[in-house]
Amino acid sequence: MNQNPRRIVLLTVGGLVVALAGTFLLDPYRNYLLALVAAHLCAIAGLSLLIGRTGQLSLGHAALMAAGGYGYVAGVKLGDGAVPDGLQPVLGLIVAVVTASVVGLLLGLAGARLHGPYLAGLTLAVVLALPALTSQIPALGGDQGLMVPFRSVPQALSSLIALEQWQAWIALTVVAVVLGVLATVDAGASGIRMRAVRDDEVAAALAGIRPGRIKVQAFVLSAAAAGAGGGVLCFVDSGVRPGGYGVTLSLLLVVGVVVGGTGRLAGAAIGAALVVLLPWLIGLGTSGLDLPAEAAQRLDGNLAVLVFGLLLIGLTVAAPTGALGLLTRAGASRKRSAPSIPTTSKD
Amino acid sequence: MATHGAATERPVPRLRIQGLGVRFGGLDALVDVGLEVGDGEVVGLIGPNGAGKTTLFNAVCALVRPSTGTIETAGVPAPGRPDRLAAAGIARTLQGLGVLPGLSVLENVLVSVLDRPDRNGRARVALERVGLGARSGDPVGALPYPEQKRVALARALATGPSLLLLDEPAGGLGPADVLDLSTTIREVAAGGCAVLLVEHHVDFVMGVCDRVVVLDFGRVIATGRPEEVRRDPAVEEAYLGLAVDR
Repeated sequence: MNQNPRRIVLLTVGGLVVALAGTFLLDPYRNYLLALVAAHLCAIAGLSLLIGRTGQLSLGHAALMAAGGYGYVAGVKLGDGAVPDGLQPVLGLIVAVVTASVVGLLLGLAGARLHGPYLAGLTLAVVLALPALTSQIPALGGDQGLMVPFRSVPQALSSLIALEQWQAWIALTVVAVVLGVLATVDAGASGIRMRAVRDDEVAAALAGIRPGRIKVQAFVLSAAAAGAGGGVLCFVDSGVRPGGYGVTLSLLLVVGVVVGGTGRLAGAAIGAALVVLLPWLIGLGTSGLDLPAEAAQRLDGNLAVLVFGLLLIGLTVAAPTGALGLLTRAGASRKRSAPSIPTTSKD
Repeated sequence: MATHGAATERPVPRLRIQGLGVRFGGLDALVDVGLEVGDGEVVGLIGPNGAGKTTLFNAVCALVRPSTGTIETAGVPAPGRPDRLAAAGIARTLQGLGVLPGLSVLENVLVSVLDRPDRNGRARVALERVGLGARSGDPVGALPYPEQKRVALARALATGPSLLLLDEPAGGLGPADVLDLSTTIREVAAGGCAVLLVEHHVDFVMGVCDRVVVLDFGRVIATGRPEEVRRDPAVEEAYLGLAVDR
């Protein structure tokens, strides 16, 4: 992850251009899935940085995504009539990030005094409290959540791309910004401070670092990334419903981090793809089987969670550094075992 | 060097500890401890295990709160938070390795000068000073134990401290590394830095220090030049007898 800022910008912009072009190869449903992957990638990348770089385990990132979703709705409503229609999603995304950051700041301030399972417990409690919170505060729309007006493709592009492709474009742009920011922070002085605090808080403090402040900063950054993801989900789904941001999503985000490789932004992409696509692939697989209706209903949703659990156990045992670590090791060992090309001939 | 004004010619010591007491529950870890370290002076703090040496370091570094006494650096109260030590010109190494295993050699040193101008240059100079300039890009865990200890020392030196606290710097080092360490410490002191070190390696302490302070059960039982302390019967009984006979 240690790269200079110019290289990070080039990689981010280059990756975004390729990804945007790639959407022309996908059908509308797959573009929709791509937008979902991008939204989850925002949250998983932020969480990966938090866990991998500061050692803080959050089980509450689903709640931070929800905060982003509610923030998006608030931003769009705020901009209604005040800014042009086309800019309302932008304002929504900004407010989404700010809202999640504020929630993250409050959680981070409490969490900086907690270690290991206690922080995990605190953040888990926030996720568990989310349904009760939304049902008690009428402005959050209760169990039904809140809706935003449907956004169609801008006039200039309507003849060129479908709605799902437009949504994928927005999602990819947001995730590119998020990844660029996270990679820049990680590669810079803040990244060194975070890893120092993770490794030894006393040694870090003696080196002039304030461990508590660094932990809070990391939590806010991670929350902002999750908020951006929540904002994108709200943009794609035209609303936010608290039921979608429960403990299961929180745990899946952690699974995505571990599967991809803790602290690895590129690995987070593998994790996000898995979190979104595995249930879809399992659904495709089970629909091909001639199962009784009752069995199919029981498997729906539950099978994916079971597979995630097994995958997590298997990967933790076989590849503790995650899928990306496994791929990196495989690539390195292939290089080592490749036969050398003779440069001279005996003849 | 700072002074107390025109009324006295006596220079203000870089570190002055007076009447220091630290209590852990019902245990007195330090009782009425006083010591001074002047600029350019190397002072050794020795004593048996549990004598309170590291506790004294922790009190100076604001890692434990004293129950009594004062700690002053250059005539002003020592910083009340460990993260403010570096800015006040105080650097400390930790017992054991004290390196940050997830960082490279260079990053391990950079971490103490991240807010300073030319941080990369400072870190590289500090690494060169301990003979590790060529290893800056390596993961710190790839270095052998003695070199990892040098990384921790380089991190402390990179800040350009005026007071250097070394907690068992020779622990686990071979004779050649101890000799190198002695040379480095004398060079640092020659540059005007006050050095206070805790160490069990008696020959090293006696060779590198200008003065030695002996702690036993949290109290100062002797202080003076190395050869004086070495001959002190109370010190021999409390600590040195075993070490010297080794």
